[in-house]
Amino acid sequence: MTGDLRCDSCQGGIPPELWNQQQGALCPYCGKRSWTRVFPAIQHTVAGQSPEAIGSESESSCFFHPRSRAIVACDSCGRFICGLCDLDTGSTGGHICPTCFTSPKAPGSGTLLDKRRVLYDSILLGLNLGGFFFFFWPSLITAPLSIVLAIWYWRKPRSIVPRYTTFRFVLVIVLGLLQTAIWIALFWSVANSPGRGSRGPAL
Amino acid sequence: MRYTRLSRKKRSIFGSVQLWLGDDHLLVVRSMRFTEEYRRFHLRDIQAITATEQPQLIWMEVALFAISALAFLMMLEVEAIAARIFFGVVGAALASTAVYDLVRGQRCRCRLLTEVSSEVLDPITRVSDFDRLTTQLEPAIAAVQGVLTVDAASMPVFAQPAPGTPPLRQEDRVETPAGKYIPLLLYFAILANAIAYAAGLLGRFNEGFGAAASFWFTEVILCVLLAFQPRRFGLKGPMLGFFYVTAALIAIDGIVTIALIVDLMQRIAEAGRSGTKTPTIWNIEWMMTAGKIAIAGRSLLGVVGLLALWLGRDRVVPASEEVPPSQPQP
Repeated sequence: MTGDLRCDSCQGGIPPELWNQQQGALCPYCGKRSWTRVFPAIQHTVAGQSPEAIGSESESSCFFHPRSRAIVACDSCGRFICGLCDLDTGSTGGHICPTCFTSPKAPGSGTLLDKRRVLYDSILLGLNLGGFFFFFWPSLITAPLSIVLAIWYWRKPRSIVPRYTTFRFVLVIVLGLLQTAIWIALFWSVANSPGRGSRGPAL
Repeated sequence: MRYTRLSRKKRSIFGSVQLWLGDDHLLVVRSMRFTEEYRRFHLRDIQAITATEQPQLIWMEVALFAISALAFLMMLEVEAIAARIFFGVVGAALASTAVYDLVRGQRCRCRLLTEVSSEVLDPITRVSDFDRLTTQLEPAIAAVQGVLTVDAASMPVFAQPAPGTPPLRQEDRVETPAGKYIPLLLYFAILANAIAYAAGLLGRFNEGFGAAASFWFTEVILCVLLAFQPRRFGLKGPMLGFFYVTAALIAIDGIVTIALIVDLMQRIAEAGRSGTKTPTIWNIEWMMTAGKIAIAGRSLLGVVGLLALWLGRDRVVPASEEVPPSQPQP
């Protein structure tokens, strides 16, 4: 694929003369304008590293390939790994072995390597507001439930990008308390209504 | 790790997609409301980012403008205040949506290429978004990879043309500025305004004035749009000068119309006080004269504008922008 830049419209090749033009360039085949920003990586062919064989008994071997020389220790589990097993994830997670890379709960593999996160704050906000606006009465259950769950999930892993997660959790708790207060006031007013207990005028 | 936002969210019914820049990678965050999925592209692996222009949704913009004009017309016609507010809000919302869509500029599809993958970057839907993305991303990639010195001979493989696709001749290639139809809409609106005004003034058809006011609002919106970015909409040279004359005449027309309404209101109030017959626009000499001048001027302006646009409809790419056809490199 190296050097293979194609027009997204007609799949015709974009020649290097048209790369990195500030105003873009017209495709020589379909005439559509396209803008390309090309970087030095296009000139490199990245090949996977081959493992080196162990030279002597004193050398450390790869955990997964005992005949290959270890070059680095996994930053997550500490296993010695060879050039073939080393997955360099940069500053995201460092050098990781394939097992830790695929393990969802690898200790220290970095939550930064996560591929998926659950947004508990959004779920609880939906639960709270949904219960309140969907005929109101479900909030009798959803309001206290959302408070409990907000506290329960407070320390769970959150989105890895900046987001108003804390604000949403606080909002869920405040709304839950307000709704609970409304229900308490309703029960109290019903319990203390003037007509309660009187069964007609005493004779 | 700190992330910097690279794009706005592209929202859909089921979630959104957004781009973030980390210390050494680009992060694509795909949100499904209650979960998020992440894709990382290390800066050292990014080979290229491309954007290819996509067709503008002209039908959508025209429909939005037409419906908003209709809503403004309804606003002027109905009596109830609540209905006026409703139609006004709907008209303003639709018109502003159409204007926002036009101001965002040319649509495009953006693609990120690595050695082993080609990923469409969904949040980048406009060329302006692409420019903002590359402005932030290029320095970060340059810090990791350095700067590219293009040497075609050093390319291990060079792109081949799509099978059966002959290169275009120079005369076949034409510039198609985004929103080129906007000036066309302006001069059509001016002509329509002249017809509506004539129906009101000469045909004594009251609704004609309401329609004319609607068209005037449309003209103002289009003029503001064109005045901000005339080149984007294909206005240049003599056509740009003619547009400025048009805009000035539309502004003068607005001022005269306001003066006309104020004068008419004063006359009606005076008639109410003195108990004489309520005057109408058709009884006042100067208003009739001004109206006839406006109708004639608008007709002339509309026809000349449309004619000028038709004469300068397409521009062949100048020789300086000519590109050699792609040939496979050795």
